[in-house]
Amino acid sequence: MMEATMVDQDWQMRARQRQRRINTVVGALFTVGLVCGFLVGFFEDDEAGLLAANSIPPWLAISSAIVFLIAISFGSWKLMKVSDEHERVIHTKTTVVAGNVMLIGYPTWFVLWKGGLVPEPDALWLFMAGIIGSMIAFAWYKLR
Amino acid sequence: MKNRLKVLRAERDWSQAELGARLDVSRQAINAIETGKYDPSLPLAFRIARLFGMTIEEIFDDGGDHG
Repeated sequence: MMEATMVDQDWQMRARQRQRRINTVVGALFTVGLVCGFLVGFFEDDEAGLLAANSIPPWLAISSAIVFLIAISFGSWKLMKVSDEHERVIHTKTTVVAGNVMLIGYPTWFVLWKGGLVPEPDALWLFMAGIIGSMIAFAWYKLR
Repeated sequence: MKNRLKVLRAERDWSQAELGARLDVSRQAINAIETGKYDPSLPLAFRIARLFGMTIEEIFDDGGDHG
């Protein structure tokens, strides 16, 4: 009985540790994004307008770019390390969906723009479409 | 791919979360394998077989003719 209880606690502890490892990585990435977003919002020139060029100090632009590069590269690698193989497959598939949305979205938008039907392709909208595509794919693969 | 994971787990009165922890994978991974939505890798299939003291073929059935 005691042995059974110990085994019981052991698997529960391992499951909690596993989830904690994932939460730590996701939480750290979320915090980095939150701090960068707060700093950009805090130092943004209100006169320049939303999403305008030259609206934050160069030091903040460079440091944010470096932080994003390191956080996303290291975070993605770390997330893959703490995830199990099923989660890794889902992450890979969602990344492929995001990439395809952008790879298909840009030329489609480009030729429509060449035809004078739509405004010039916008990188931010394409990026957002990729993110939304990956979120839908993640929900589909995770919850179906 | 069909498998007997759900039956084998039930025989031992393990939850999906418990089996997942024993195999160091998530509860969702066990659910996906049991429902046939995800085929485990060969290393995970070996871990499952070892845990239940069986061969991979005794747990997983690819529907092929093994004769």
